[in-house]
Amino acid sequence: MEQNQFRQKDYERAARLLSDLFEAGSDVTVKLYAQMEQNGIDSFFDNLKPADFPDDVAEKLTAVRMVLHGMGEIPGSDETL
Amino acid sequence: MTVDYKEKYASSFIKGIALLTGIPENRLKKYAAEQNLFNVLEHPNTIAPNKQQFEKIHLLNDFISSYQLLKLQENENKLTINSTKKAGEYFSALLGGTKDREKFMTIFLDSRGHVIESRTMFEGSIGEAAVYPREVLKAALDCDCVSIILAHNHPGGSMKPSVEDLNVTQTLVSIFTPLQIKILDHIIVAGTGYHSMTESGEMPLPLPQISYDVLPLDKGKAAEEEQTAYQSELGSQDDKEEWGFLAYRYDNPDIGDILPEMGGPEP
Repeated sequence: MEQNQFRQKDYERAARLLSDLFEAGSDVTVKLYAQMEQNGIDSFFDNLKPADFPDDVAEKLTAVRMVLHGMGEIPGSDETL
Repeated sequence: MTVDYKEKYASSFIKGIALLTGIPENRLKKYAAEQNLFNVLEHPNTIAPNKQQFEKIHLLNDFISSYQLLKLQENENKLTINSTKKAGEYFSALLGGTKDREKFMTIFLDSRGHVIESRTMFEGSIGEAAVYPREVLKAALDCDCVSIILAHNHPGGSMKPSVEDLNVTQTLVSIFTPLQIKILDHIIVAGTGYHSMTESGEMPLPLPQISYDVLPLDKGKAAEEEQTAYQSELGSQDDKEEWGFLAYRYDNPDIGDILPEMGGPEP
């Protein structure tokens, strides 16, 4: 299998994990995957607004971003989250 | 996961955890005042979550591992692991934060050391996990790799390979050597450190004869019981032989004293 195909599988898994965490439907999984594949995981949390997720999903994605920020995985100040 | 507790980001972390898991913010704040806040992710039982909260923490942990892996992959055009140091750092990032269960991982490499696939093959409890060589073999053949690096974590903190760790490694070396697939290393991650069997000269040589039977442990009775309990799920003895199924149970040496109390083997 190509490296890209394996990365796609990893994006799918990451999207599915978030979707399960949010108790969201498969439509959200598909959208999360699309955003990850398009922007990469490194920029995924910087491009949440244009993605136009439902409000509850957007809130939870922000919460995930806050956790990653607290762990030092994502830079920035608390005010920018 | 690499944990670097930054107090100024604690409020961000607490709010995020509260929103995602349902654990009340004030409980998290009270916990943070007395304990290392990151225990919530690494040792979730310390905050006494209910079942649903525990499952949320588990999902969040798995996502964070996926996130870190994808970041590693994206930051290099092709992820190359061509040294013990790189392998150790790679698996430390993925396994270092998992403190409540053992995970056995593999990376499959091409002829230039590029990672074809990284996979969590098996997960177990805090002190043990079962490794099924047939599944490792299948995964390796599916991706046409030429070499493999094995890794697992010791939640207890000891980096020393157990007898079972060495046995698992030797069996896999024995299986893959005739296929011209090289097991390059077996990395053991504990806390923020790692141990390389290759670096320490512990990589075993292949055995001349390959056996797919359950490997008897030093504590033979426990191994037999484990085999019987497991294989009852597979069906008859004939089925087992046809499948050539093999399961290993490798133990964390740190909890040897606890095993008898848990109904495990006697010392």
